[in-house]
Amino acid sequence: VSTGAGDAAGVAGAAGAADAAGVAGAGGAASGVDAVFDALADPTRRLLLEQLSAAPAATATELASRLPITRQAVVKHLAALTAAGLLQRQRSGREVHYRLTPEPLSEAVTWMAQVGATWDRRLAALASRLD
Amino acid sequence: MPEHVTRELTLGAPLPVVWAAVLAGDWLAERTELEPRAGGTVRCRDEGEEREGWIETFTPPGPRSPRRAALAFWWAAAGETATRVELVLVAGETTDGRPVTLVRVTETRPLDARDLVAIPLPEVAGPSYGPVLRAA
Repeated sequence: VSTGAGDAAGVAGAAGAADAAGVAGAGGAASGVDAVFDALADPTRRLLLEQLSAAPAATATELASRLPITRQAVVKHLAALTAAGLLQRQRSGREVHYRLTPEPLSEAVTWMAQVGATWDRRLAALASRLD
Repeated sequence: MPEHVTRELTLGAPLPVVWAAVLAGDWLAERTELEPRAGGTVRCRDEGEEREGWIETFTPPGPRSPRRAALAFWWAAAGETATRVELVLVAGETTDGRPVTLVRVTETRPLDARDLVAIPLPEVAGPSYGPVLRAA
């Protein structure tokens, strides 16, 4: 998958997650998790999160200087991450700083913990059926 | 960041016996209806929650696959995004020759799965099932 195709899929995917939340009329935990996973699908976005986890905040220009992609591409990825609730934007004069908001990640972890616990219970039932 | 949940369990029974128990479905939910064929439906009711879906892969153990069986399906509760569940059973034996079966289950969010497959959805499932290709 080329970088370009990945970008397109990621941005459209984030929009799709928003649509799904609207249709469901929920906008609750599941749709939030979807948005997070959509945002994390792209390796460049994961790299950006890694960069931001090592610093309190950074601008798109600062992030572009550390990565082999253009500032324009960085801005697009930051927008997708912000839409998923993974980043917060803060304007300071002419600059926009981005910082991590860890809550959506813990929501994703919660989903996995719930699903994992349910399968533990089901597999225990399968095992006892064969006893 | 993992995007799926995997669990493994080794059961002290031969593959055909475990496969039959898996298809019985009573371990999956309080009430399970499973149509054992690719394209068949899955309906589960557990603790008041109803989940519906369809079977993507149905590979029973047999002459062509004596040591491995697989079942993959998509399901979702009302208002939720569908997830893909894959059950793989692999026959083995203990050091003293008793048959065992490894059961590996993986539940995947659409994010992973939509990258893997792009197949038409059966009408019964509706637009929220399967790889909807929301990224397309």
